[in-house]
Amino acid sequence: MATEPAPDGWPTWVGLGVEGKECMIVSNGESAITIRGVTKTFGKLRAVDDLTLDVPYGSLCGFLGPNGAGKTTTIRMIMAIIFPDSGELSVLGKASAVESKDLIGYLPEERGVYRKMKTTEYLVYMARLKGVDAGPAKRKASDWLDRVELPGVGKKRLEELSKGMQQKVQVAATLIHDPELVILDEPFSGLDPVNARMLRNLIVDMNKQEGRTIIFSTHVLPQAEQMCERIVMIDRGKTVLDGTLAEIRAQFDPRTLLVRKRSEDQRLDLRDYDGVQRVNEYNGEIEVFLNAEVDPVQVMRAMLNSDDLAKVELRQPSLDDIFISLVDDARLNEFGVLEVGSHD
Amino acid sequence: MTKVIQVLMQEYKSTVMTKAFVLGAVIFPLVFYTLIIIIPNVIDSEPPQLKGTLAVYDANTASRAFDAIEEQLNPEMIQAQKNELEQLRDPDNSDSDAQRQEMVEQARSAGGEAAVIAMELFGGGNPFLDQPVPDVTLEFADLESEETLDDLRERMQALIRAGDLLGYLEIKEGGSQAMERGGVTLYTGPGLHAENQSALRRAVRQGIVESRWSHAVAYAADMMNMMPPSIELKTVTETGEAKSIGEAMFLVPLAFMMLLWISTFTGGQYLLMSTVEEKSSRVMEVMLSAVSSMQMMTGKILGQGAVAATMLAIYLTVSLLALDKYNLLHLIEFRDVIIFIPYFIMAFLIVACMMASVGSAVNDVREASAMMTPAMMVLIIPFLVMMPVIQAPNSMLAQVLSFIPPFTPFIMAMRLGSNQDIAMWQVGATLVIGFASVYVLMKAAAKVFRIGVLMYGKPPNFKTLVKWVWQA
Repeated sequence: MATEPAPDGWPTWVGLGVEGKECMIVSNGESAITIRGVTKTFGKLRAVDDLTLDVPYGSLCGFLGPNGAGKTTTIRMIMAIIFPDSGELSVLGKASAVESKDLIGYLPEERGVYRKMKTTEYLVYMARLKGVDAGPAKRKASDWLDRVELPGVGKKRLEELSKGMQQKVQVAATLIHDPELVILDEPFSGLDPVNARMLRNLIVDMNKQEGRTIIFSTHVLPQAEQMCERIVMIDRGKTVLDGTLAEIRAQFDPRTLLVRKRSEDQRLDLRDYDGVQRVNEYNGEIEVFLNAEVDPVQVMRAMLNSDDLAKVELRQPSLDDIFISLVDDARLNEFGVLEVGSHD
Repeated sequence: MTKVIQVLMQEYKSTVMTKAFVLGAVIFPLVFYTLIIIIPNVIDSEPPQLKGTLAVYDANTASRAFDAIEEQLNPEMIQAQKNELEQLRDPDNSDSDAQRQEMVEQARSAGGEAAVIAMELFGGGNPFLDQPVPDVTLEFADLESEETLDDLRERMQALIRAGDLLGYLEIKEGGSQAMERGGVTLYTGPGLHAENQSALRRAVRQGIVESRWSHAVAYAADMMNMMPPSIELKTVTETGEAKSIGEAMFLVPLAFMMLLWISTFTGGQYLLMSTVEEKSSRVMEVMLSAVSSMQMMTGKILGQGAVAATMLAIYLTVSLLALDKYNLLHLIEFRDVIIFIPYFIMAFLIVACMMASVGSAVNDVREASAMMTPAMMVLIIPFLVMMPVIQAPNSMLAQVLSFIPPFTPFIMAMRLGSNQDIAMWQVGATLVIGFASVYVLMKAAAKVFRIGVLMYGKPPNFKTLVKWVWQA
């Protein structure tokens, strides 16, 4: 996906991939979140280690990493729930999120509700805490219940709702005050595919149509790949990837070919080609993984010269491939100091 | 500040608007005190007039008590005493002590020596003063020819059963002097009101005593003068006011202490429970996205403080109503109630800091109980020293404990409720020291709260809590 130049007088345009379609959002060049050399330790554990990253205004940023990578600790520091041992951090231009909490919507990974409260009462309470006046808070509560497809549950106690419904109420409570910056920690966990799609559309709409800056962490990498223009990946408290999807993909040489045979019953052993490491066949298509030292173009050319194949295509590395590759590499490095990707 | 108020209101509403609070903290004390007020009215319903004939058998021919008992049941004398008592009980009569003394003198000069002595000895006047004047006739129950005492008793009992006799009094030989049970027996019918029965018994006893005095010594008044006098204690205070002690000596300090204890610990307990619940239900981090941990803790403490104040107001109001019902309102001085308020705030904040810290550090109520035990053992000390402090509010023990912050509000509440003046410099100094310690406690609690609310797993020990305070 190409990055297009900004029109005259406009800030930089940044490419965004949403379900395979190209779209644009505006970034004014400043960062909604800036982290410089932040370190946080808990006892002997260094949860975040000299972390540096930027999240531009108006971006939709995926925050990825394996379990225990330091994602939640980083997010909590961004939210000023805990504070770094060293380093600098600014959120929405303020030195601390304490000064801008009303402009931030935060859905934590560990999230619960006041089970005895009625749904509307809970939403109004959360809105009031974030500076919304009583009258608008009630109206917004009703609007948001409609928006998350929960009409008619306003008078029900939260304990009467299913876990998935409670989660949608939590999403509504996170967004009810129209925050400028939205931080979602594992927003899709616990949602069925239908509700996950609803939430995904909601996130994309907020970013694309309303221009909000959104950062969310997830383990569902294809989802991040579909939604995010920007990816930050951390492991062992350090940034291992930071950039747009295009930039990240460009750093990883494609080493997989997608091949289609001319007929289903055709017998073919692609391992005979030089440089082929292994082959994986499914649904009539064959994934051909190449050795690191070969030139993929040469292998493709050799395959296309034979009449056995209907299609030979060089596949871009998926986020899954990159994630696994980086985490595996990092695990192999006992010091965990793998510097990959562009850092600001 | 707006956020703190929002949390405060939510905390207050979510506690007060529950059935548990309404039942436990409002309805129970109201019912309890209502019963205190109503039950005496129900029980003290005036018994019927005691009417009938009392047959008396007295084996002691030399000192028969018949006349003295008859005098005790004399309607005219009882009516006169009732009139005098009404004057004594008149709340507008500010000189009732002097008047009472005068009445005693009058009774003595009128020749009612035995009645006065009986009144002094038994701490009260005629037993019929609080019920209708009786109309009881006394008759001798003499043994008929060849009749034994057992026969007489049976005959009298049959008359009582038939309703022909109100009662039968049997005084065996030496019975009027004997202290052992069985020397004097009073038989009455089953339908007799308990208070009538009790009054008749007291009248008989006073009659016997009077008879014994009048036969034993020539001048009962002289004998009475040799008896140890009943001395009423009064304390001269710095302000020149004198307050009689007695029931007030224990009642008011105890009430102050209990009010403080119940209201602060109930509010504190609610704070602990709500903090543990918010943590265990994982709602805490959601809240911390909107408010800072300090705002959260402050709002919660103030909210539960309002709950405790509500409880205190309910208990205090009903207590004052109950005291008023029994004409004991004078036992409480308004100034003491005003000074009590800052100590209530101090006590609540001390307990609240403790509860908020523990609630934030643990994962469930069971862990909270385990962690609270050592703290409770410290806070129970004011209860252990309650008696010595109430008895001697200005003793060294009371004064020293007043200056040790966790005990300050509880000890000072007891001292303020006592009949002795507490030096104002001590009130001022304990308030300064107490609130200074509350400030330090709140700072420490805020640090523990900030770290604790996001910690899950093994609960911290005391050493870890201290570490959190220093590291945060």
